[in-house]
Parts: sequence; C-alpha cells; structure tokens
Amino acid sequence: MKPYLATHAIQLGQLLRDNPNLTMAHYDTPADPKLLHIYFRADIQLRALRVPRNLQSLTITPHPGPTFHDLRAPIARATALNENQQCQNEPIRLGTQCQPKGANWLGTAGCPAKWRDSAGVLHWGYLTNWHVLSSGQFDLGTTCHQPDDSKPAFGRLAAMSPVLRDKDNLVDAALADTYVNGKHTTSDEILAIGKYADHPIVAVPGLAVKKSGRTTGYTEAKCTAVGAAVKIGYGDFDATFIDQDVYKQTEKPFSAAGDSGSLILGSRCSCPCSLLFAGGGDMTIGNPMRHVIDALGLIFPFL
Amino acid sequence: MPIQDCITHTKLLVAQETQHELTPQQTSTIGCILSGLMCAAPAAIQCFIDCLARAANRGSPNAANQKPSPCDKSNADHEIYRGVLHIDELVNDATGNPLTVAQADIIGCVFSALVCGVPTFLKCFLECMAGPTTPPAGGYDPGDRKRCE
Repeated sequence: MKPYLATHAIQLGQLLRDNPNLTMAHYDTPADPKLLHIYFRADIQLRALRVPRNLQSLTITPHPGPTFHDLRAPIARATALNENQQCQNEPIRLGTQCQPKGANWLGTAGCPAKWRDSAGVLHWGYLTNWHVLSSGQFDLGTTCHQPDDSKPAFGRLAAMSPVLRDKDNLVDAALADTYVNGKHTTSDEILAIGKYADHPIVAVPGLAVKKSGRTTGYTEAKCTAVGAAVKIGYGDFDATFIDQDVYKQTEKPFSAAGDSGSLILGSRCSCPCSLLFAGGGDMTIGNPMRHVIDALGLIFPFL
Repeated sequence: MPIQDCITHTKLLVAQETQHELTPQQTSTIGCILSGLMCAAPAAIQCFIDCLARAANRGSPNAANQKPSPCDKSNADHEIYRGVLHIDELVNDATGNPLTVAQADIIGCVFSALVCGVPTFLKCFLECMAGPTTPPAGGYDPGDRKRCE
C-alpha cells in the first residue's frame, strides 16, 4: 500500500465489505473528510449500517444508486460500425475495439503506452484493463486482435495487474506490446483525440474530462468525486476498489459496455487522468493514473 | 530514508497541496537532486569534521577576531572567509554582538563542507539526469502495413 493512501481510504473499503448493500462511498473532501456519501442499491431499503469506529464522527449522507460492473461488451457483429469499431491499417490509432484471441468479449485498446520490463528493456504498445486482455482466462503472451480475432494479431499481453476478490484493489490494468514482425502496429494517437500531453494529472471534483472508446466513441464528462471506494461486479465475483475517480455524464452517456480500457483525459490539456474500467447508471469509474503508473511502470512521455 | 521514499513523500505533499501530480521530469529531477545529495554527503561531512579539527588544533582561522590574511588562502577559502565575515556583520547588526570564535568556526566549516561537496554533487546529479548510458535496443517504430483486406 502506498504511503499517500491515507488510512481513511482503506476504511472506506472496510465500510463496503461490512455492508454488502453499499455500492460506493466517498468523502466530500478526501483531504479533510467531514461528510461521507454512501450509495446503496436502489432496489433495497437501507435499514442498518455497520460503520467502522474511525468513521463514526462523520456526517453520513445516503443515496440510492446503481450497482457497478466492468464495461466489457459481449461479442457482437454489428452492422453499422462506428470509427472506434472499424478495422484499421497500421499504424492503428487507439481508443479502438480489441479482443483477445478466443475471448467471448470485446473491450477498448485505450491509449499509447511505454514501459520498461524487469530486465530494463523498453516496450511500446497500449494500455487497457486486465479484464479486457486476461480476466484470469488468458496468460501473458496471448495475442490481441483489432477489431476482433478474425483479423491478424496486433499485439500480445505483456504485463498485467490482476484484480483480486479478497483485497482492496487500486487498478484493473494491463499492457499489450504491439511489436509484431519488426514494426509496432499501433500509433501514438487516440481516435478523435490525437496525441495526449506528456504528463498525467490527478483528477479533482469538477474537472472536465473526455475519452474515446469502443462503444460510445468520443464523449465528455465531469469528475464528481475522488478517493472513492467502489464495489464492482465482474460477472462471477465482486471486487472492492479504493481511491478511485468517479465521473458523471454531462449530456450523452459517458461510457457503456465495451468502453473498458479507454483512457480518460483532462479536456483542456489532454493529460492522462484515469483508466476507465467500470460504470453503473450515469456514473463511470476510473483508476487514477498515478496508481496505474505505479502498478505497471508506465513511462511518460510516450516518445 | 531511501530516495524512493523521499520521492513518494514529496509526490504526496505536492499532490495534496496542489491537486496536481508531479510530472515525470519533475520527479526525476527531484530524484537526481536527492541522489546527488546522498552522493556528496560523505565527502561534505568528512570536510566538515576535518575543518573543525583543524580549527581546534591551530586556533580559529575563521574567527572574526583572528583574521588571517586572505593571501594565505586559496580562492575557495578566501570566499568562505568573506562569507563568515559577512554573517558576522549581519549578526552584529542584528544583535549588537559579533560571532564568537567558536560560532565563526562552525559557520566557516559549514561553508567549507558545502564547497567540498559541490563537485561530487554536480557529478552525481549530472550523471543521474543523463540516465542510463546504454540506450535500449530498438525503439518505437510504427508500421504502415495493410491488414484490413
């Protein structure tokens, strides 16, 4: 656990585990918590709450809310493909649809990524979610395909930070190396956005953001909370995440199934901000980029 | 405290105060400054100890009331001597009392240690900023092949 993860972030994770009907919790201001917002399943009556002792001095505001789940999409052979779903020749711009070989789901190959492996060798490829490229079913080295596995491989799963069901998770992230037959198949650009800025930023409530993903394409939103603990459904298990960024759509839906793996960027600076991985209702959840960098050893700038 | 812990702590403080993450360039610069300081510390401490020992053995070369001739000294020592005198003047103006011999000795030896550590600091700092001397094999090389037919 990182030193800058204050104990109150961990206490929110405990709050979710102690109360199965809660789906999310966050403070009004994480740096000086006084008010605690909790979200419970809209289909139940919240009667009692088990609150860790350290949180009992806070004012608690309950809200009925959605359940959250990962944003993979089932395999679909759509007839009218948007730009993010179409096959691309090299260099493939990211924010595009991808599928691991043999998987029964689709996700988004989010953004250009550079990292150094444990032997000190630099790699270039793209960033997406663990549940898009592996989900515990596929090992390192598995090929990934754009837009689906009817087309040649455009990379291989090279690194991942798996989601654990019994622990507080920080990220759901994976990297694919796109060096194939002597060239990199992917571009340094994201569809509808272009190149991202050289340095990542930390989300703050009110920050305007944008993303480009497989299903909803280019969309915009605002950050509504940071440092949130969220319970995420992964189909066959639930996982608790702490210290997450929360975004709310401004006009049209910010994300939908299939957008998992998209990069969320600050609207004005195009600075990497969060890795989109889950959503529910009108809310989208992202892993803070600082945790993704720590987990996978990403290096900025890309070039 | 290990350098990585210092960097992490610095990143936390900056993020808390400004709500902005340090850029990778800023982080690496801070890391290199810390690395340079760690690198130069042994030499600087040794100089400081040697300086104090010399001062104890032969009187007080930097004391305001025992001013050695600047001509006896190297350029660096001369600058240190002038620096001590300047502090002596400031202290005298502020408090009405000049520095004692022992205080002047300690200040002179602090300056001496800093001067002593600067070359080592710069060497380590510049090497750190330059990064690994051997470049990684290959590089980012985007293709232009057709794959959608």
